[in-house]
Amino acid sequence: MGSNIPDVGDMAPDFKVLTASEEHFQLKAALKNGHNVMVIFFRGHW
Amino acid sequence: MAEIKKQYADIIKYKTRAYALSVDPPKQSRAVASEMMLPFDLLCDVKKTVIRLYDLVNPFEHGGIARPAIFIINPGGKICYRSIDGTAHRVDLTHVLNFLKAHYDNPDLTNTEPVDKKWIIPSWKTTRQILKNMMLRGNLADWKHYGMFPVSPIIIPLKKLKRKLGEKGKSNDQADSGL
Repeated sequence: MGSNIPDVGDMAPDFKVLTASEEHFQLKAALKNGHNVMVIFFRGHW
Repeated sequence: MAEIKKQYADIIKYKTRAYALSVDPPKQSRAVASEMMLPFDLLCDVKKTVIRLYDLVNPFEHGGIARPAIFIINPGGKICYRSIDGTAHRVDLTHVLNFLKAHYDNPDLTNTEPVDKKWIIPSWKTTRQILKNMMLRGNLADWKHYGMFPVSPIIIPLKKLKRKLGEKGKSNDQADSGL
């Protein structure tokens, strides 16, 4: 596990998902406002 | 998540927006966001496409969940910081904030330093949930993270050393072959 995890210096793979409020989120679009984006992967609710 | 919530004002100050992603459906994520009063959005990767894309699937728990990790992506779309974590052994948020501060001053900066990590001592609530998962669902995986606590401080440095030696061996081979 872990060999294909994008590394520092790589372009972040773009993705589209729904937010908790069921709005569409796209990484590429979120980056357009000129801020960094921090994506926190977490286990979720147990 | 609670720690990120506490530091969110600083995160915003350094021109960064946070999004937390899990495989939970929107309804469950809304409940978590409202219970924890999170100031940032939760993303719902119900089909597990993103965790597969980032190769962060932990297939051993709850039918496949995200492995804990943090990525900071600059406005150009490049990953400038990443930390691949464990449930009981995670990046120290101070390290993330120090990086963001340095990145704010130098937007071309990428993190090349090893990431500082710390051990997470499970709260009573977490312990209770682990016991519930073990007894009601027969799930031993959650317990493993914390049960490994006494041996992990030995195993993790050994794994790092092994990786380092492997990388050194590779670069020696390349030097020998004239690459």
